Amino acid sequence: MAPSSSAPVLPVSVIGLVDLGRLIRELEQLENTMSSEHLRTGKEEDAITLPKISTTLEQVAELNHVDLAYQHNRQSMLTLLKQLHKEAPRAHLSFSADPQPQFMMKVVTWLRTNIHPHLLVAVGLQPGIGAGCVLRTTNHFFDMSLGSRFAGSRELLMKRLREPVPGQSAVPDPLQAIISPEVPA
Amino acid sequence: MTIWQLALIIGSLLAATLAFIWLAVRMSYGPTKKKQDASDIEKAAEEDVEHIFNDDFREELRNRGRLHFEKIISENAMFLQQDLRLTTSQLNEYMKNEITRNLQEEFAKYEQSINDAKQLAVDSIQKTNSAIDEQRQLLGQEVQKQILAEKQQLVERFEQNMTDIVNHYVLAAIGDQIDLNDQLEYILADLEANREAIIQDIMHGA
Repeated sequence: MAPSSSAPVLPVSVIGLVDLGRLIRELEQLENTMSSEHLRTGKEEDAITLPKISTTLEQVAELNHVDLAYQHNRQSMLTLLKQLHKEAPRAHLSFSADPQPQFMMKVVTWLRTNIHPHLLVAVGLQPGIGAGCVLRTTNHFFDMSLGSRFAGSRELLMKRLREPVPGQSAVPDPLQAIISPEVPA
Repeated sequence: MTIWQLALIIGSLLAATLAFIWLAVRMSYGPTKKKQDASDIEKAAEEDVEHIFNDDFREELRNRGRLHFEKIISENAMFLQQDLRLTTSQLNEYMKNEITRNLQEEFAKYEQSINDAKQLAVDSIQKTNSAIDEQRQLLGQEVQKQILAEKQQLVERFEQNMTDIVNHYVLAAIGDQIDLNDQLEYILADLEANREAIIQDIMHGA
């Protein structure tokens, strides 16, 4: 089996550039091992036992319907992955806490489904965000944090702050209350 | 005019001249004789006085005069002593009155000076008090204005930083309890809301 097309499918376990680089290095190491085994034993490619590979590489092979026992498949996959390493779109996603792998898989699944299938995500940590996330792409900065939500709802927040509490009179505008204080009767 | 007439006139003139000369000589010799007579009388009187007022009589008169003089002296001394005492007492009284009067005048002046100084001090204190009140009022107004401005700035700053304050409060209150898994739906909703913009930037970005 050869790679299905020039656009390989990345598993969600490959989140960012680091995971892709690790995958490339592992595939290169596999190629070296298989080539040396072929030269050393003189066996055919399909007769050589495939060494133990990582789950991620197994997922890549499975998703792309590639048999890594054949050299041309490995070379094609390696070329495609290196091309991805150079050309794949990238984004930086920051959270208030270190996200768990399952959480990141869900997020990356959504991003690759709705944004781009080869999107590589770098995860950052910004404790000041509080809640939500901050997405930084090539040219834009999408602040989807709680602070940004509060800033967008500032008028609503001020309105709620000035609303009367049950059993109390309405809270006046602080500026007006200072400038022209009303003397209680 | 005949010569007789001329001789008669000259004769008259000569007669008048001779009469004048005789009269002058007569008047010059008259007083000398009177003076000589008076001198003779004085000499006779002096001789009589010398005869009457001889040395004994003069000594007696001198003694009597000395006694009388001593008597007069003693009387006058007594009178003088009385006068002196009276004068001394009067002088004392006068001095006392004068000193009292001067002291009273000085005290009055001193009291007047004290009253003037007191009035001056009171006026000065009143002016100072009024100035202090005025300054205090101005200072109070200024402080009140500054406080109002400061409060206004605080309120404006509070309203400007309201989102940060609330965010900080929320993070401090429940920041540890917000799990990322609980936020997944919220995060995906935000990503969905910005999907087109993200796609545009990724597709057409450099």
